[in-house]
Amino acid sequence: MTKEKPSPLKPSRLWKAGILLAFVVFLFLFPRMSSSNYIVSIGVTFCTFACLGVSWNIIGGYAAQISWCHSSFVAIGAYTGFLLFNHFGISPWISVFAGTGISAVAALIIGSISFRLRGPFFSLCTIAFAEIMRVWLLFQKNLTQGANGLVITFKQESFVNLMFRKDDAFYYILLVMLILYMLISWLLQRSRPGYYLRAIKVDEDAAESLGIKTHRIKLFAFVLSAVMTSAVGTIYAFFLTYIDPASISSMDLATRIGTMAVVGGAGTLFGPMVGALALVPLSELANVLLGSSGSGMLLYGGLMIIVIIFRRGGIVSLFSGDGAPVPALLKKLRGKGQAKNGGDSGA
Amino acid sequence: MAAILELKDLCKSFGGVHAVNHVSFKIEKGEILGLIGPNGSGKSTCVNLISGVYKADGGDVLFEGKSVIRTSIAGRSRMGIGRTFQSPKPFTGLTVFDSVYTIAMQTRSYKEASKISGEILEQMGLSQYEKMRCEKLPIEKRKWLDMARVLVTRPRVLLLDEVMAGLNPNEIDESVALVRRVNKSGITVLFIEHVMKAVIKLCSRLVVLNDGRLLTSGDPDTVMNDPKVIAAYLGRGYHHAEND
Repeated sequence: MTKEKPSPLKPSRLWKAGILLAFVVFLFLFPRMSSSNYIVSIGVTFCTFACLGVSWNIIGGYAAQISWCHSSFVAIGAYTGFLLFNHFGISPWISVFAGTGISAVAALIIGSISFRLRGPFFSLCTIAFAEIMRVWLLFQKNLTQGANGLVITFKQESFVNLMFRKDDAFYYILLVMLILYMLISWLLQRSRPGYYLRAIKVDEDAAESLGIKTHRIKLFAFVLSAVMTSAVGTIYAFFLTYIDPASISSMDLATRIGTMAVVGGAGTLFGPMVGALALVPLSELANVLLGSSGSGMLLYGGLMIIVIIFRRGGIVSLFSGDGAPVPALLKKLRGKGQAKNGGDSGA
Repeated sequence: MAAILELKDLCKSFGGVHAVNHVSFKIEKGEILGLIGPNGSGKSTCVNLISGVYKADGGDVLFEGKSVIRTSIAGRSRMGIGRTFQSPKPFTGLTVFDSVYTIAMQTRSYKEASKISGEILEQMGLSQYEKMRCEKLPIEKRKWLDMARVLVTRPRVLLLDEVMAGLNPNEIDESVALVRRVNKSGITVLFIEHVMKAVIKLCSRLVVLNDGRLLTSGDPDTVMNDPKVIAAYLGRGYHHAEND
């Protein structure tokens, strides 16, 4: 049996546990380290995008079914929360369930239709759904105020209504959600559906011919992913206090969500969180230095290209030593170099 | 003996090409039936039609007397029709153990699945590779891993699609012994193969396809000496080579 070459950066189990513990302690102490509400708001954005990345990773990472409509599930959660609160005074803690219910039904419908077909049809269906949702939100002016968007007015500090003077409370709520989502993702990895999803990702025909009900498993993963995304959408909307179709139901947001997982390491437990940890502060830095909110998207696009070409396993693969196939182009170049130097090709 | 699997007037076309053209034959319970023929004769298409990967244009597939033509691919596997693929399809990224365990856990508890996966890997001589990533296995071991994954589904009929292609003579002998062991455990085998040495050693009956049609069928001796089979598939040099 040939031994696998360990990555020089691969930490031992004890180191891993130590790093993880130190990171969790750091996350809990983070708001105490700065008096600036802006810094804490970056922490809130990190937790939000880490949660969204973990959610997307369930269908996009574990099953490799690329979804472009996760911004729509954020929008469903956000708008349901705002509308129920503004019209009926219902607490977002309750409307979270309404939003997740609607998202689950939407995911069930999209998945039922598109998962029956192989190839790019699922991705195309999600693009279509995202556009339908954005246009619908834009033109339902009586309900959503169209492009003007919806606002939540701060009345008084209230945990029930998710109204806080400082962002610390949102940070801790989303941090607890992130830990919960990581736990769900970890449990999924170790459960039957988790194993089936990884088999489907590699070879759907083989998985199906070995008895795995691929359609049902993908549908389960998509609904779970949509429900988790929608729940974050409701909480994040109350943090923002203002939502409109252009910001909350856009292709930009959908791309950002997927990028977190891809850059960090799609199909891995820590990948989406690592992606958010790298991208959210970088994006803020780019906005500050380049003075435009579009620079963040430029950064996402550039990093996505770099990862796809050079490190398909994402950042986490640097530490695990997997998922990092050398691209064909580099192999060719390397081959040419060897040939020039009289390599061992025997030619 | 009763037929466990029956193809009735099965048809499949790809555009204007009739890959399988009104083919009918039966597989008796407990036998190893060889399905042979030149490249492009429709052997793998037959396997894909039996396992449900392709939808038939016409005809029927009966498993234990019941039509499975409308049953899903996964449904057929769960009923007891197992198959391997011409090119091995390892679950890249998963270890050898995990790829068998993934399939084993479908109908068993985690503990049972773990136990049976270990046992099957031992039977297939893959125990020492348990922790290795599937994609790092040598080609012949990948074929055995494919077979190990199918065997944990407890198939009653096993469709082996060219499992011996690319193997050296020693590996072929080992594979022949393995297929025989599998058959002796009560699993009926449909054996698609070009390696005639293995076909003759293993099969009790042969079915020959040519141009998507059934050319002939019968016991190996009769079929191998059939002038139609020699002309369409084996070639005149085959018997000279055998005699040498």
